[in-house]
Amino acid sequence: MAASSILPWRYRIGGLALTAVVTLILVYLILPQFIVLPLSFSDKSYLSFPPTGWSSQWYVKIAENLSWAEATANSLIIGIPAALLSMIFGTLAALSLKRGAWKGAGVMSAAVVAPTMLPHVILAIGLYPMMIKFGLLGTHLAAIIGHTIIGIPLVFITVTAVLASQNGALELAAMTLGATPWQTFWRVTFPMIRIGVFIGGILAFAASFDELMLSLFLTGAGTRTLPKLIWEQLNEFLTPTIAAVATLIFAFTLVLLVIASFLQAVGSRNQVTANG
Amino acid sequence: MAQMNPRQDGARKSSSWSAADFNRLLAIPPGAVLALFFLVPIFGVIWRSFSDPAIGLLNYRRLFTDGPYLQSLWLTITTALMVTVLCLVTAYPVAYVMARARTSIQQLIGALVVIPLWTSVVIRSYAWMVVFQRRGILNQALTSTGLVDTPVNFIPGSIAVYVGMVHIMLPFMILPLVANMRSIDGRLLAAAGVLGATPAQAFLRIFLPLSLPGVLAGSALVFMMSLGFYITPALLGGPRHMMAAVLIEEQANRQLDWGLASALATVLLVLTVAVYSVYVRLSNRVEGGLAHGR
Amino acid sequence: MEHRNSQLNRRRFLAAAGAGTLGLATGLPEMAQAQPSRMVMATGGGAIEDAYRKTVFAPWKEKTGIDIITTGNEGARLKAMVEQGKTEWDVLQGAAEEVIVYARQGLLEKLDTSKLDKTQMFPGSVHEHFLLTDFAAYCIAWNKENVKTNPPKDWKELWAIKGRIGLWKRPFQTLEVALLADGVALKDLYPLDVERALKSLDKIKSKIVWWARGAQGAQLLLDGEVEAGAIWNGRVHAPKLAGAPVDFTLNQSILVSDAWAIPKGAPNIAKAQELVALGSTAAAQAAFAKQLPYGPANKAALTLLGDDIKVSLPQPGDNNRLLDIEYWAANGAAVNERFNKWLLA
Repeated sequence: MAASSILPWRYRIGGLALTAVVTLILVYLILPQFIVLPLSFSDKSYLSFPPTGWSSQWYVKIAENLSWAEATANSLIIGIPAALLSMIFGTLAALSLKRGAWKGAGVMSAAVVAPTMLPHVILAIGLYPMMIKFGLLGTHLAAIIGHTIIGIPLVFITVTAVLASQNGALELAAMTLGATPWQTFWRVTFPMIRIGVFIGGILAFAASFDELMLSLFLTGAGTRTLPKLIWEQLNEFLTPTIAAVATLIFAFTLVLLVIASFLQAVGSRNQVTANG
Repeated sequence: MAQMNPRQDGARKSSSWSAADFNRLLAIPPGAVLALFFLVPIFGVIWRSFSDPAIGLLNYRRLFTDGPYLQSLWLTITTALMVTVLCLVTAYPVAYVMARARTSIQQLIGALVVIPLWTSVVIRSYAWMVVFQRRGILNQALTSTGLVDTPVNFIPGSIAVYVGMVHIMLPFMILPLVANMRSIDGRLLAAAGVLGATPAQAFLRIFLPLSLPGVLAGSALVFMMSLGFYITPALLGGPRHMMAAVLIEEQANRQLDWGLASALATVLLVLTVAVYSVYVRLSNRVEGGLAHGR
Repeated sequence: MEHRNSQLNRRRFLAAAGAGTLGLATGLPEMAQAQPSRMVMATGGGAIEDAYRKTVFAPWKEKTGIDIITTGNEGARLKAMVEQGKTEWDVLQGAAEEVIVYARQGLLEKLDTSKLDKTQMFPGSVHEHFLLTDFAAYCIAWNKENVKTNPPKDWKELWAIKGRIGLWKRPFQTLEVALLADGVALKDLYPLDVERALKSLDKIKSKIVWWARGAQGAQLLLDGEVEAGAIWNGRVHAPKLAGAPVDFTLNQSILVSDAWAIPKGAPNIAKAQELVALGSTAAAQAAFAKQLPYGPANKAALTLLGDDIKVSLPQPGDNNRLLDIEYWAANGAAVNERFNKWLLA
């Protein structure tokens, strides 16, 4: 960025145009949040935009009705372990298929990623007897496994994309210098692919967080997740409750992000001081 | 990989066969999980497509001869392709800026990309209904600025459908791109600059080719996920936006015709495997090219 | 999870034991019968489940001490459970045209209707494997801001309306109203003349805005995205009372029903029979109708309701027609295929 001052003017205009385009796209990404926000404070019992009056009754309703809290808890109990497992298995699969000199790696990769496109009801029908066989049916673990299957491809593809632009020379160098495979992995490979693993994990969690059919099939009676509650509303009529839920999740994410960036800022300042 | 580029092959042979062995061992845990909880159920599905209600090609004959299925499959594929292209065009500049920005900007963009992921697809589709309705935000803007006299019917329509679907898929394109671009060695670009390349040349000759693995990965991901699109086309689209996933769900959940549902799913599966094999081939060639270029 | 499974097994064992001794135990006090601590009912969730909770589950708990746990009522899950011999649901509620498909696929137990006063039930609501519990209307509704004068009184007028029309993107009911719009009389609807119905839809194809889910169909009307359209009365009833610019008529509507049934191999079949029986009593159905604007299948319930409630309840009569679920069970797959093909053409 500092170099921009010595660039010819047309690159600066190019840079400005790029900034403008990216800003527009980011506005597009966040726009639905700002439509949902006023909807959640509507004084009407049905969704109408723009709202004609304001009320916080929908937030009170959520607080009073335990089923939303319960559903959120269930979604997290399923989503977080599923994302972590996806990160582990997806990364291992990517490393192995990318660096293992397999014959037929193409077909094997295809088998790893195939769950992405399969309608979940089909996967659910297929998994159902398996879960009975393992005595897992009706448990959260069954849904976690199901969501891991759809999460693995997301991590796999992201990590593969990162590995593709690394040539493996550093790992070779480490091994040549006597590092064990395990040391090589933790000290050399993992730091290189960390961002891919992390991003894949985010995508896997998001996929689980909005998944309906597998949790419906595999968890026990009475277990409701957020998508299930939203789906029920879609059968009847939408109320501002779902807008309020979306806004709460949005606010919660924001708080998490602010805390994370604050911690990071403190961390890097400490580092600077230490180095200085 | 099947077509390993010569440089890597040579390196492996000369120094450490044990690295490859170790990497092969890594496949055991994910292989076991996927075999048990994906391949076994999927073989069940494939078998059912040939055996329910009777052994034979009954379901496939129904799929391929008459009815809405072939047309819906074609529509699903073209829609998924279109979404992929639109996503790529939109995602690339965002990922480029994000990958090269300083940390604070990176975090801001990252947050804006990730936040939509936590909002249910149902709610986001509804938000787009609010935008595109006759009395929606867009039409109000268009009529008040005098661009149109009477409100435009965006719903049902392709614009609304694509805006809604691209919005859902965009993070799945941006983030793999960023992951890849961040691992591109920035010193290569700096070196190019020192050697007299303009920024445009440096981008076209160095950055763009190095980012191709990310482009391919994101595109493969978005294309495959788009094949399973379900709720957004239903909420924003017209009669023709009947995706294969909708038909599969209808057969599996309402008509309880699991044979036909399995056959449709099997066709989609074969299609994915085919597309993915092309992807693997392409990405190997790209990597081979990259290695050669270096 | 170990705990849950063993509980399930114990429950099944007790249920089996209970069923075995049922012959002897019918006259005996309750202790001799199997008494599960909870039962599972699969429902569509949302408002209808809330209504069941107040009008059926609460009195049931009072009477038997058994809690009802609810879960989603996806047909595919029912089929998977029965196929694997692991039925977890005791009772299910679903759309009658779907429940009859379950019955034909052998996924349901026979109902014990020996104690039911069939003369009190509307014709067509008692079946071997399921009972209809209520009637909702697929009816004509319009946005009052878009249609200020002369709202459509029947389907012919709806078809002729200037502006856009919202219709359900599935053949059930939509083909029926297309025929009505084309001049077919209510009594002559079945068997459906599918090609004639599609031709009738062809005439307004450019005006139709298809909706896939009930909430979406209602929202199109509320937001004025369509001038008028077809929707189930329950989806616009509450918004209308809350002041939304929407109104509807029950004239010429197609009545659809919820059905209650017992899945094959249900854990507590005897108790499930009792629960279904409770759900079809006049008292329960009258209480239900006070929660949601759906007419009771048990005529006796009507005598327990005031006129203010009754006026908004769809009831089988001369100006409407009950959806012929037997027709749809026999022809649904083929007609559905034809309809989808027409949509894509």
